Parts: sequence; structure tokens; C-alpha cells
Amino acid sequence: MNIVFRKMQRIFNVAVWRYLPPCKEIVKTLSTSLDRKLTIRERVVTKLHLWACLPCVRYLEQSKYIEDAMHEYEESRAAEVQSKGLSEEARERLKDLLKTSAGLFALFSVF
Amino acid sequence: MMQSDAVSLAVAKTSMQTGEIALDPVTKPKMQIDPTAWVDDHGDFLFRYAVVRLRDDSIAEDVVQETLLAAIQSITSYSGKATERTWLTSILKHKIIDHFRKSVREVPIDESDTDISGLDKFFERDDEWTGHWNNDLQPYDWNMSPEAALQENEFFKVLQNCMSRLPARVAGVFALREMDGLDSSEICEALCLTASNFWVMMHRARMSLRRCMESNWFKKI
Repeated sequence: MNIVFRKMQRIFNVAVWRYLPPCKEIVKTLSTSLDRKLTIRERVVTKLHLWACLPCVRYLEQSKYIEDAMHEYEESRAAEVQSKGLSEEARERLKDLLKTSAGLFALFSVF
Repeated sequence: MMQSDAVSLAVAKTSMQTGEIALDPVTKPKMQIDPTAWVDDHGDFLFRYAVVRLRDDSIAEDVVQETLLAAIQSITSYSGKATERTWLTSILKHKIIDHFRKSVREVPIDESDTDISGLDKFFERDDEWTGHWNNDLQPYDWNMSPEAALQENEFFKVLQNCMSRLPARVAGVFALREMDGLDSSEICEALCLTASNFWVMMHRARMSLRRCMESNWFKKI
């Protein structure tokens, strides 16, 4: 039974590799899938390919992993700057500037 | 007519003194907005938001300043539906994109940015299966335990290092998408890219980063 199953899987894999687009194209589609929704056709082709191709499965997993890592990195950096703030000097400068331009703007908006 | 002008003028005069702007004094008498209070209420928040993305304190200060000034000019379009902070943040976001656009424009446009023929080597084979992964370059099992790796500082250093090896524009686009979470359409519009250029650059960044992390980080474990 097991042997039959493996045999069938082998036939399936070879068929996918031979008759569907090669990894090179699939990998491009996989990249796109992280940015936009795939069309139905693209989805079916990729799914079939992924059933037959371990490296492409890994490529997708690892790309997602790097994406997560980037988010994580971003968050850790956001946490780092939590202690930072505007300097006193900048604060005063901004307030002065805002006061003047708010007044000017109100004055001009009349005319 | 004369009278209403006189009223507005009076309002403007008080604004000059207090720095406050009354939003449409006739219909919304209670909506008083005080721009100087923004500095204390939201200044630090906006500054931190900017500094994470711009990586430079003084540039971040400048951008916050631009944001607040722009906010004053568009104050009449502020409907009061969103909170003040959300509204200011959305202006800030645009200012940051503007800044990025300027700095990216200064990087000379390079045809090679959108050239992915360098990726062909991953799919070169001597047998009949050319177009499929090369045996030596195909992704191998990283054996990753996701949480463990991400907590290590070293991991991020390697990641940063890999990012810096990408061409500046490619890395910039990738960071805008993955770190700042902008939509692809926003990025294309801001940087004047076509959708296919954007996509090619993202693909290139992903392939190179994955490969770079594989050989520089996961091999060691």
C-alpha cells in the first residue's frame, strides 16, 4: 500500500515539475502572494506546486519568517526610543512657531 | 457682510494673542483648538514615531515641525471625527514619505535595481530540470525555533547587515513595505514606481535577504 502511494506521489511530482511552471516562476508568484491576493489560477498552480516541491515550501516559510522578523525588529526599535522625547529647546521653538503661524493663518483666512 | 467680516477679524485678532484657532466660530462655537498644546500633548509621541522611521533625531524634529505647521494650515478640514493624535499622525506619515521620497530621489536611478537576472543562478541546473532550484542553492531546512531566534540581538544585527548589502533603493522600498507597513500602492505613488518595478524590487529583496540570512545566520546553528 505504502509503495503504491509513494509511486503515485512520484508520478504526481514529476507531472507537476514537467507540466506546470518551474520553481523560478513559482517563487516569483510566492513573493507576490505576500503583497497581494493571488488570482484563482495562480493559487491553484502554486498549491499544486507546493504539494510537490519541498524547497519552494521552505522558500515561502522562510520569507514569511523574515517578514515577521522585520516587524519584530521594528517593534524592538520602537521600544528603544520610548524614553526619547523632544528636547526642551525644540519644544519652546515649536510652541513659538505655532503661536505665530496660527495667528497669521487666522488673520489670512479672514480675507 | 461688513459685520461678519468684522467678527472674523476680531476672532483673528484674539487668535494672534492666544495662539488659538476657533473652528468656524458661528456653527461650532465650542470647538476651540490650541495648536501650542499639541506640542505638550502629542509632541513626544510624534517625535518618537518619526525617529523610529527616520533614524535621526534632528531630521525627526524637523519633520514634526513641518507636520504641525501643515496641521495648522489644514485645520479647517479637521472634522473632529478622528482624535487629534490620529489626525496629526496621518499628516506626519505623509511628511515622512515626502522626506523619504526626496532622499531616494537623490540616489541616482539605477537600471540594475530592477534587474533580477542575478537571481537566475538559483535556478540553473545541468540536467533537464533547469528552471527548478539548483541543488546547492535551494533553501534548506533552517531548523528554526521562531521565538528563540527573534529574541536574540545578534539575529537583528545580521538582518541589518544583510539589508545593508542590498542596493539603497531596493532596501528602502523593502523597509517601507515591511517595517513601516505601507501599502504597495502608497509606496508606488510616493516613489513614482510602476507596480511591476515595485514587485521586482520586493522579490529581489526577499530572495537576497533569505539567502543572506541562510548563509550568515542559520548555518551557524
